[in-house]
Amino acid sequence: MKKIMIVDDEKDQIYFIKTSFENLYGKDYMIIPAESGEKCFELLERQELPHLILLDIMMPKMNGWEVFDKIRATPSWKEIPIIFLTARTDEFAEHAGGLIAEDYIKKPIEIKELKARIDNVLKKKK
Amino acid sequence: MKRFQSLKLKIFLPLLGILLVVFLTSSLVVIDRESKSVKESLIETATSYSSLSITSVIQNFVFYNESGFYKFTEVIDNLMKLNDNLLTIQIVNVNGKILFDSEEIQTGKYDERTYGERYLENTTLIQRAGDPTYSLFLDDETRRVDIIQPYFEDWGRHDYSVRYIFSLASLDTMTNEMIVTILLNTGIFIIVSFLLIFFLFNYFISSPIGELTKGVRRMSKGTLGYEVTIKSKDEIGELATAFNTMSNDLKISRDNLEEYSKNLEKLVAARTKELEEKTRRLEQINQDLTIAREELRGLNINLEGRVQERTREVEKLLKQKDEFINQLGHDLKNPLGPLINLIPLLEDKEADPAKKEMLTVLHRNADYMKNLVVKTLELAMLNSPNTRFSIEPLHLSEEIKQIINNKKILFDENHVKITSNIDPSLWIKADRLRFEELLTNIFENSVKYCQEECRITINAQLTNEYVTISITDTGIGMTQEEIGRVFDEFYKADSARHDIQNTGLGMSICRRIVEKHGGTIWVESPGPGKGTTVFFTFPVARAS
Repeated sequence: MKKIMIVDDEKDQIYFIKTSFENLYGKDYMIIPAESGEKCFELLERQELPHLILLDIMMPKMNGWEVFDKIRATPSWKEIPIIFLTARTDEFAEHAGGLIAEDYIKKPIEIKELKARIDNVLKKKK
Repeated sequence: MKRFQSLKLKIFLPLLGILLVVFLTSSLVVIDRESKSVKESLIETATSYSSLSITSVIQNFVFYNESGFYKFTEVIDNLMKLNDNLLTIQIVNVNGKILFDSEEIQTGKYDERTYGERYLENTTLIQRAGDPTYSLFLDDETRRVDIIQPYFEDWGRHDYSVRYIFSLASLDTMTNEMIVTILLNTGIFIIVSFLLIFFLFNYFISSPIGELTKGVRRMSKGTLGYEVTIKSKDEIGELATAFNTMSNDLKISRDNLEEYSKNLEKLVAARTKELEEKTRRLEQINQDLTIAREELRGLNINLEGRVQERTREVEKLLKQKDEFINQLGHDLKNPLGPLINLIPLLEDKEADPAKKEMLTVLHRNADYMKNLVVKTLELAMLNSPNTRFSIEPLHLSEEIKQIINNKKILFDENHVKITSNIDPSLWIKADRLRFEELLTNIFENSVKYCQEECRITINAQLTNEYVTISITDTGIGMTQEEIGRVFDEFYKADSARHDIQNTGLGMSICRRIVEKHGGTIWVESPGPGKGTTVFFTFPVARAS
């Protein structure tokens, strides 16, 4: 079972991803929700590390880039693959090193494509 | 005046010399001829005298010898006096014996008895005394003429000869006098003619020249119109007339020139004034122009400022528009996620056919809305000049493999067989996200217009600085008319069949992406039902 953490401030986004995964792929994936960057760090510190993090960019307080930078700067977390979730394609062009993450997926997300990407990243990681 | 004197010298000294030579030569010739003629006449006189006086001398001498006393000496004296040139009379016999010598009388020595016998000086003379012909001997050295005249008595006997010695000294005297006279005459003649010529020269040439010189001097000092007074009608006169004409003409010319000069000065003054006026006006115009230019520049700066301000405003507005679109994109896209993912879940689980049908309609429309929103926003983004691309080298075969993997569900669900024949050495320069978007759009089209057996083949070829990538499908193909319109926005291959899966924006997005990378995109198709190939080029990246 793959543990996938999703960091997104919108609960509906987390809900549909989590529900879709549970319905479509059953126990192959476990979705761990985190409503903010802070919550993400807290979970990372407290629990077993996830196999992959889905990271939304546009979030209040701490945005996706900052979360990404902190994860990459923390030795014990830096190996976790990250897939960005973005609604704005211009965000990557504006952010230097935008493609340093393992992958990205544009919103609106299609669960099947997301799963394919997650599988690709995890396959490469091995 | 010295010059004219020297001119005179130049003319008169040679003239004088020539005159002297000519007259002296002719004088000498005349003198020579005259003295010869005088000499001849003297000799003639002497000859005739001797022939005339011989009889008288001899008869008196004979008579003296026969009768004893007779004043023979007086006779001789008288005869001697008759001719001044006669120096000596001698009476000699045929043997050369001197019977009488007039010199002896003159010296008082004549006495036959005491004086004894005497003979002529030389044998030639003695012979001549004996010769019955008359003989004359001219001795130029002693300037004497020696005449021996034989005497014949009534019966023709020749016993005596008389010797006359004449002096030619008077000839010299006469010659000298003649020379003196001739030279005197010549001298007077020369002087007179010289003076005459001098006077004539002076009168006709020198003084007119002097006059002309005066005129020329005056002219050179500026007194034009001066006329020389030469009345003669010769060449000098003509020259003077010409000079006067010239002088007058010059005066007239100068007067005209002065007049002209004055006029010119006036003209120049007038023109200068005019020019000054014009210059002043020009300066005024210049100043006006400078002011106008300043104003214009001010206006320009103002205008530039306003243009910049407007540009900034427009840019700001454009930015705001982009920002708005992006924000809108975000806000539109987020709610679509739950819709397009949760509705199919419900649809699958629903057992009631009516409800299931409702969920199917919802599902289809949610998908269509998703496509429309995503592609419209994407096209708006690509059309914005502010959209930036993040160009990086992409490993073409690997990148395409990745994209195919990401779209695996799409191909699997539609039973599409996809083959990539990309040379692993090819790299391109592209924005990774846009490149994926491009390929996804083309793949979606291929899948959409798929026929029963669906295959997609990807090839790539390097040409110069570009890699040409082709994606061939076995779909419904296109007509030429459709090919011509495939990149039009909102164009759909089959508009009659209202296909809600199709937004009609995919190929427009593709063209924008390719063109933003400096490449080209085109579509080829052998015809309807025979599949379609999309070609597009990307700049090559040389693997380092």
